Parts: sequence; C-alpha cells; structure tokens
Amino acid sequence: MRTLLILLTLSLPTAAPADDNGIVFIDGGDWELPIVREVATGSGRVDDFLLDARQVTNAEFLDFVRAHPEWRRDRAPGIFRDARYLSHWPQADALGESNARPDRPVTRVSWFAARAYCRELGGRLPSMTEWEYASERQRQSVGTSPEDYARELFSWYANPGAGSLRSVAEGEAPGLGIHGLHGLVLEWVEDFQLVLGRGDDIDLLTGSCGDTARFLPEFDEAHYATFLRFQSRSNYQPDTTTSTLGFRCAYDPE
Amino acid sequence: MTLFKSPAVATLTLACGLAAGGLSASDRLVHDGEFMVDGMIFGLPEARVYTEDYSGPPVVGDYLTAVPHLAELDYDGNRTHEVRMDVISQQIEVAPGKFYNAWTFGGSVPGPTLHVREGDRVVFTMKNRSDEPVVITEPVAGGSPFFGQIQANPIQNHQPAISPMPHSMDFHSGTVAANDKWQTIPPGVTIQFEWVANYPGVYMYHCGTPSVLMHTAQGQYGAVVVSPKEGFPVEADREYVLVQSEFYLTEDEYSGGYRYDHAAAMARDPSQVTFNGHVNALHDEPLRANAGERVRLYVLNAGPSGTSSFHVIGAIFDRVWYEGNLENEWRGMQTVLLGASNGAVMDFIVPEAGSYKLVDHEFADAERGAAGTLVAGPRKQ
Amino acid sequence: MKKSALTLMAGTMLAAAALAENPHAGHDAHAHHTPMHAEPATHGHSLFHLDAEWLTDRGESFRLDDLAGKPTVITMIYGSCTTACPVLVNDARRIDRAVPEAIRDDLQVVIVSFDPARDTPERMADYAESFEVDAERWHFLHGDPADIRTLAAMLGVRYRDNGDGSFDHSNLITLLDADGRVARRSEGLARPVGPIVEKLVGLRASALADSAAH
Repeated sequence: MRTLLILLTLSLPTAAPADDNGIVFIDGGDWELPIVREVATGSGRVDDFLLDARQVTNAEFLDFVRAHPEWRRDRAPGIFRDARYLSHWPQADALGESNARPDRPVTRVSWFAARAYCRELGGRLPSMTEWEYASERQRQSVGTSPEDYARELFSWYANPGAGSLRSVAEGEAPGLGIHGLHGLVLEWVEDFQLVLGRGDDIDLLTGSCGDTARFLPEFDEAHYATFLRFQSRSNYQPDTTTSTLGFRCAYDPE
Repeated sequence: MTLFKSPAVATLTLACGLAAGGLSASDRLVHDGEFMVDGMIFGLPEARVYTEDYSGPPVVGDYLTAVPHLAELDYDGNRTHEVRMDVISQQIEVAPGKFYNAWTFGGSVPGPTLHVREGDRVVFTMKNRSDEPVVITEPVAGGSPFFGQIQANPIQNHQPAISPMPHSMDFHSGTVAANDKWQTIPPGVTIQFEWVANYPGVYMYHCGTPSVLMHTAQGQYGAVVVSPKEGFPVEADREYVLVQSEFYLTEDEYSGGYRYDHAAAMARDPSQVTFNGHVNALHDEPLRANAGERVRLYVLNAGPSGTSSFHVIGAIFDRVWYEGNLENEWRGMQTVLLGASNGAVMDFIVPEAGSYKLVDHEFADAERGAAGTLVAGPRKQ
Repeated sequence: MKKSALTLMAGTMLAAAALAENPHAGHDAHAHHTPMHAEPATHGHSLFHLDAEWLTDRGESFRLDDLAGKPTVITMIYGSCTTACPVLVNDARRIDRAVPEAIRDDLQVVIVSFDPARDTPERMADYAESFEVDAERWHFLHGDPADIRTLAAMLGVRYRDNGDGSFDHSNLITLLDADGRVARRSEGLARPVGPIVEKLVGLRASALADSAAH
C-alpha cells in the first residue's frame, strides 16, 4: 500500500514549492469533486491555478480594512456582513491578543468581505473544486491516509479550537507547500452553495434531512468528513461570519 | 415529582372539550391561509428568519422541564405557548470521565421536555448560538423550570463550549412543510414559526441538518409530550419522562476528551446507550413510587439508529398507549418495542416495595448503559 | 338540562378567554421567508451597495444605483434556458401588466443573465425583443461573472455553472424598493402576482404619504 502511494505521488503532477509571496502553483488535471451531483456534468478538469500557501491573517486583513475603510466593521453595509463581523478585534482598526493576533487566520469574515479582499489583490476565492483538488493533492503528497484525514477532520468538528486558534503557518509547509487546509479553520470558496435538483425544481435550501446519501459516492469516513464540510458551509449565508471560518485566495496564472 | 389529576379537573376539561367542539371551528384558526381538516389545523404561515440581539436564557416557556420531569398542564382546553429553545454547544458527560462537546438544544442531552395538550398552538423561537459560550448551570431569570431542575441534578457536568455549525429544528409533533419550518439557519440567526399539536403522543424533536446522523448523535434531540385532549382514562400517581439514546464516542487524540465516531455510528456500534443522557442518570437519581401506585412513563426512543425493547423488571405494563394515542391501547405488555423516534405512554402498577430496574431488554444496549432504577416504598394507605 | 347548559356556558367563556389571550390573532400571515430579512429596514441592506458596472441590452453602461428613486422588479435567467427562464421573464411581465398604470410608469424591471459568455448585450437585445416589453423601463443586463455571483448572493439566488452552457439555478423574482432594499420575494415559477403587486401599491402609498408630509 505504501509503495503504491509513493508511486502515485511520483506520477502526479507536482506543485512548485511556495515562493516568497507564499503562493503555490497547482498543476491542473482531470478530477471530479468527491460528491455526487444528480447529473454528471462538465469535463471533470481543473485548470492550473495559484493558491495562497496559508490563510489570510488578521494583519493582512487589517491592512485591507485600513486601505478600504468601507469594509471596517463599523462601516460595512449590513447586506455584506452579519453583526459579528470582525468582532474579535478589540477595535475596528486594531489587533490584539489571542485570536486577534496578527498571525492568526482572520475569522469572522463574510463571503462578501473575503471576496473583496482577494479581488483587491488581483485574485479571487478558490472554487470548491479547486480547493478540494488542492486538498487531495496535498494529502497525496504528504501521504495522509483517508482514515487519518477523516480522524483529523472529525476531531476538528468536535473541537474546532475556537477559543485559541493556531498561527496560519507553523514551521515548514508540508507536501505541496500548503499550510493548514484542515484542522485550523473552515474556508470560504467562491461557489460554496450546494445546488440540488429535484426534477424541475431546484431546491433552494439545497440539502436537508434525508439528503445526505444522495451526495456521497461512498459511505466511508473520509467522504463523510468531506461532505460535512460542503454541507455545513453550504448552509451558511454569504453574510455569515463565525469564529472558525476564514479564507485564502486563489489566482489565475498569467 | 408527583403529579395528580383530580377528578374535578378531568371533568372540567372534558366539559370544555365538548363545549369547544360546539364552537365554530374557524375560531381556532389564527392566520390567513390556515384551514381545518377533521378538526386539525393546517396551513400555518411561513417561518420567519431574522437576526435578534438576544442573550437571555436559551430555554424559555413554563412547560419546559429537564428529564425525567414533566410539567403539569395547569390549564383547561387549549392555549398558545411561546417557547424558545436555542441551539448551544456544551461539553457534557455521558458516563464517568466520558465527556465530549455536544450540540444541544438548551444545553442538555436530551434537551428540555415540552408538555402541551392536543390542539395547543406553539410559537417557537430558536436562535443558533453555537458560536457563543452559554452557561446553563447558574440561576437564570425568566427561564424555564428546566434550569432549576438541571441545577438540582447536574449529572452531565455541563460546561459551555463553542462549535459554530448550521442547525435546524424538526418537531415530530408538528405537521408542517419541512422545507420551510425545519430549515437550517447559520450561527447568529434566529428562526420563528408556529405549529399546532394536531395529534397526541410522545414525540421526538431533533436537528434536521445534514448529516442528521451526526447532528442527532451529537445530542440534538428531546421530547415533546402532547397529552390527549380528553385526558387518559385512568389517573396516574407518578409521571416520568424517559428518553433513550445512543452515543458514538471515541477518544479524541487531539484534545484529550472524546468525539463523535462516524465509523461507529454507521456500524450501529454505540459506545453508550443511555436513559436520559447518562449511564447513571436513573441510578444516581432513581425514579420513586410506592407499592400500589400507578406509574406512567412517557418513553421516547430518540435513536439515532437503535431500537429499544423497553421492560421494567418485576412489572408488567398494565396499559400501553403506543405513540401516546388513546386509540392505540394495548394491555398487559411485558416489553414494548420502540423503533428510532417511536414513543409510547406506559402504565404499570407497582406491585411491592422494592427496587425495579428499567432496561432496554436488548442487553447489548442495557450493558452499555440503557438501564435505570425505580425505588418503591411501602404502600401508602 | 340545566347542568349541561351551565357547562356549555362555562366552556364557552373559558374558550373565549383562551382566544382573547392569543397574542397572535391578526398576525401577518405573509411574513417573509428570507435569509436576509426582518431587520429594521436600513440603507445598510440596499443592493445599491454593489459596486459593479453592467452593460444593458442597448450596450449602455449601467449601475444598480441608477435604479434609485423608483421600485424595481429583478430576476436572474440565462438565454439558452428554455424551460424555467422564459417563465420567470413572463412572470415579471405579468407583474408589470398587473400593476395600476400610475405605478407602472415608475416601475423598473431588471433581468440579469447568469451567462455573460453567451448572453452578450446583442443577444440580450434579441431576447428582450422576443418578450415585447417596454424598453424604457426594462433592462437586460450583462456583467462580469464575479459581479453576477455577488448579485445572486445579495438576492439569495443559488446557481451553479455546469460549464457546458447550462446553469442550475433557483427561480426567484424580487421586488426592491426605491432605496434598493428587498421588499418582497417570490420563489418559484408561475407564481401569483398578487403579493408583489400589493407590495408595490403599498410602497407607492407610503412614498406619497412621506412626500405629502414634507
């Protein structure tokens, strides 16, 4: 099994290590999201893209808010964020201790705010497909078994460590050079809302009691853990902010 | 807790029931669009989803109690209940040393028990407070009887926790469009909707957000007791609520406590099966009665996946109203089989002073904790 | 006989008392079911906060705040969609035709395409023509994919680009007030126009009352 994993790793397109800006180049490839959608569509291809090696930090988001005061928590319009937006900062434009430290992943940001940040940097949020593709490539590169991956995720769901988040980048970035895709914070993606068809009807609420099995190609822990990420995030609104939800940006290659 | 139904109250209730039947049916309809079929109310208005700046008690309403207590219906006929049960995360213990971060309604597992009468209307409010720490073990002003009862018996060792997740509410006692009223809300958001108790019974409520297996196994369930509008044909001397449920826990290598074990849940291999949320809940605080009394148990099997073959060692159920409906009366049952989300009202007469074990007679469950005790004193003359 | 009459009276009185206590008699049955609603109406929730440039079917530059001052009916479709989308546009047209003339003169209708690659302004112009609507008040918009995604999120429309020219999307018609805030939402296809028309009339009445008061 281990030999097979090594062979697989060697035969996969590799990613370039993180450059000084902390951005990783991810080679595209043929790939499908590990959930079932009611109609198999598209070519199942992920194009080359660039991904931040780590989540956006409080410090970086503070720079953004200072340059764009319309995104301050005391000025951003209510349509773009909920009442807890950036509420962990001691002031609207100052960082502090614990989860408000500069090197912690910025949390309590809405999807709208995250997108505005990435757009400002000439990027965007990764798509769900891109993010999951990077996650799987990273796990393959590091040699994480599906069972270990599931265990880490379920442990995170049980104890998201909301009280004291770790820094975004501790030590060397493993595998493809990406830090903390799992086990630190949940991350926004561009198309986070699952869409479920029911004949002619598109289910506006996309997934409720009884729908789980429709999404899973296999009923093992790893698929389940991944699905829970999709489903939970899909149940958020674009203005939702939580203490365990952050983001990183993606970019199109020149 | 002892509840008595006096003959006078029963007669008056019956009279009011008859009299109410003589009133125009449309008097019970409140909102545009509601309609009646066979005396039951349907067509309730759409749920309202909004944000509120609320940080008060997570459980509000006079008829919400902690298991095994059941609130007394101290009113006649029907009324409208204003009920709140917020979703909060809470670290709880299910067996000595076995604690985990649960997702709950109101802070306990199972959640508070709501008692209403067939035909009552409930205006229900729920805020998703999974992203804030909420304490339930300190005195609360304006909260339900639930809090005092928890604080008198904090066997689950409740500690506030934070676990931001989307959540929803599904009342089996309500007949509504699930895509509307049982919809999922993100942390910080509130939902409000109404339902009418169209049928009597012992009903499960639980979170309906996928994965329902995980959300239920994590602790989001409880019971609504809907008493028949005409009351029971016999009076009980003691009434208790008992909710059976499974836990699927494994050691969490990252945090030192325990966590949900999905593989075990899918394999239907619980780590504990409990009555009222803790292997010792009904041993440390046994139920009480005296010889000759009629004990009425409102039993719900909340699952999420298992069945319960419920039996009281040394007793036979004189009457069982399956699903709490007087039309479903069985006599002389040794054991009652409850599927996942089945409930029943079970009466037995305490034969002698002594100790009576309540068990799920599927002994793989009993020996994982699905057992309790009723201690009976001598007959009172 | 006497006893049952007394019982009946007692029952009636008690029942009447129970009804009188009901605090929700007369409650608004049309309470919204929307994820972005029910806060006190503030300009913070105006869609005009969306800072984006669009192109109309006439090739003109357009911003959402160009709609300020008058109510708007807005929906999202794509041109290649042959089942749901024509119904949605038709629903918007049915609303347009159902409002009293005085209100219609002020009503703006905005149709936004999910599919900028195929639904160019020229194609949108053809599409608009096929519906025979008042070109002065109807705008068919072409935009940047990221802005389309933002607008959909603000309206509460879910959609998925399948990559092959088809889009799975929810069906929603939204009424915005003169300040760009969501006033009413109508989910589904071929829905009754009553609720939105009623709301439009209501908005007009309050607008008139406000201006009369000044």
